[in-house]
Amino acid sequence: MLGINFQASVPKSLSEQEANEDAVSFDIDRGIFAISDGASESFDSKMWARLLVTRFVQQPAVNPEWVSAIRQSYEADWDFDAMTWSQQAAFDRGSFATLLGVEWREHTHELEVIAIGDSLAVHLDAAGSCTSHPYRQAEQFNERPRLLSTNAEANAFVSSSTFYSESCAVWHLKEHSRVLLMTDALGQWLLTDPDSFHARVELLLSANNESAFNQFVLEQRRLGAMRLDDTTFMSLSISKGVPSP
Amino acid sequence: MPYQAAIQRSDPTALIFLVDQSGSMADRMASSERTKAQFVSDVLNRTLMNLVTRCTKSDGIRDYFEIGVIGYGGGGARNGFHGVLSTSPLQPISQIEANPLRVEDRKRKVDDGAGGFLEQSVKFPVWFEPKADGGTPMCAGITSAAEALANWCDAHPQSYPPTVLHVTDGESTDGDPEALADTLRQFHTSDGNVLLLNLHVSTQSGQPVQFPSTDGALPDQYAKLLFRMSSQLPEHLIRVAQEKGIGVSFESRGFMFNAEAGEIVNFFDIGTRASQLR
Repeated sequence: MLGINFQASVPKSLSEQEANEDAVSFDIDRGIFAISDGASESFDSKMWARLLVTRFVQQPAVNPEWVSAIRQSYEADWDFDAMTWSQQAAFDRGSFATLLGVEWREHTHELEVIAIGDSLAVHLDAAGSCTSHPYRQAEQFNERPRLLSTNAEANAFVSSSTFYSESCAVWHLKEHSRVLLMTDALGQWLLTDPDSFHARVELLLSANNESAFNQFVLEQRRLGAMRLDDTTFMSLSISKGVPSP
Repeated sequence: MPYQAAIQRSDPTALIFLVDQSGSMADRMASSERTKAQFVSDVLNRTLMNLVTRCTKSDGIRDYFEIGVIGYGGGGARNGFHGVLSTSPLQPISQIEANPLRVEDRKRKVDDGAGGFLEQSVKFPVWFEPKADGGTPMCAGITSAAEALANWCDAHPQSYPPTVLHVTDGESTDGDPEALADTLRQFHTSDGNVLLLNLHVSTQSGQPVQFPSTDGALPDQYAKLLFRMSSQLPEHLIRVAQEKGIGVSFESRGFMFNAEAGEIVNFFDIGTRASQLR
C-alpha cells in the first residue's frame, strides 16, 4: 500500500490562508493522489484546481473528454450575463492550473505519474538514486508551462499524439522508496543545485510536521532561495500497515 | 538579479503610458484608413482592459498595478485620463476598472456546443480617446512622468520598478529630451531602475527595427536618440519577445522604430509583462 507520510501547504501570504490556490486530493485505498497549482493570473483558479484534483481521484484518466467534462462543471457555476465587463473578460481569459497525479498499482509495484504543467514528482529509492518528472533541472521552471484551462482552445495539447509520452512516467517502487509531490516553487528550490540535492532532500524531509514545514518555507523565502508562491508538498511511501495521513 | 520582485498587492508596480498627441499623429497609418492616434488609442484601451483582466479574480480586483496615462501635444503635457481618474498621476487598477469613460456593448459569436453559433453580448470599456494637435513637447511629457515616479519609487522601495511606455512619431519641439530620459531611468526601487521603453510609430511602409542591440541599423540621429533613451530589456521581457518570434539578444534595448500595427500591439504587450503577479 502507498501511504502519506506527510502533507502540507503554505500560502503566499500567511494572513490569507483562503487565498491559497493549490489543491490536494487523494484516495489512499485506491492508491490515487493528486495536487494542482492554480495560476495567479486566473479568474478562479482555486476552484479549477480543486475540480481537477477531485475528478482525477474519482477517475484518473486524463483525455480531452475528461477535461471537457470538468470545464462544463466549472462553467455551470457562473452566470456570464450577470457579470461585470471585467469579470466577463477574466472569465473568458480562463482559469489555469497544473495537474500532478499518481496512481499506484500494488500488484506490479508500479506508480504511474502524469504531470501537466510545472508541479514536480520526485522518486527517491533506498540506494539514494533519484528520478524526477516532468523536469530534471531548475532552469526548466523558468519556461512557460502548459496548463489545463477552462478555456477549451488552451487544452488542444491534450489531444496531441505525444501528450501521453510527454506527460506520463512509470516508476517501479521498492521497499523504502519515497515519492515526493510538490508545486513549482518547492520543485525549483529542490533542483536548484545538483551538488546539494541530497542535503536539500534531507532538509525538506526533516520538516515533517506543519509547524516545521511552515518555518522551512518561510526561511527559504526570507533567504531568497524559494520563490514567493503557494507551496504544497506531499510525501508518499510504501507501507505494510495502514498509513497515517 | 534586478527585475525579479514578485508583484503583489502589498508591493504593486507602476505603469505609465506616455503618448505623443501632436498634430502629426492625425496622419494615417501605412496601409490603413485609421490615423496613428486612433490606432494607438485602440491599442491602449485594449492594453488597459488586458491589465484589468489579469488582475480580476472571481472575488474582486487585485491592485497589482498603479497606472497613469500622460499625453503631450498642443497645450503641453496633461493627464490622459478624464473625470475621477485625472485627479492623480497614478491610479490603482481597481479605480481604472471602476471608471472607464464608457462601456460599449459589442456582439460576438460563440460556439453553441451543437455545431452552431450563438450571438453573445460583451462589454468593451473605453478610457482613452484619440487626440492630435499642436507640437511635440516631449520634454514636458518626460518631466511629468519623472515627477510622478520619483515619489512613487520612494513610497514603494521593495516593488518591481515602474515601466514607462513612450509612444511617439516625431522629434521633440521643446528641447533635447535625452538628459531628462537619463534622469527618469535613474529612479529606482531595490529591484532595479525605472524601465523606459520607446516606440516610434510610422506612417510609411518600411522595415521596422525591433529591440535593436546597437544603433547600427537605425537611419538617422532622431532614431539613434530614441535608442539611447531606451532601457536595456530585462531577461524576462527578452523571453516574452522570443516567444513572439522576435529576434532579440541580452543587449537589446526596449525600442522599436518605424513600427506598424503588428509591432505596436507587440510593443504594448511585451512592455506590460512585468514579472510574475502573486
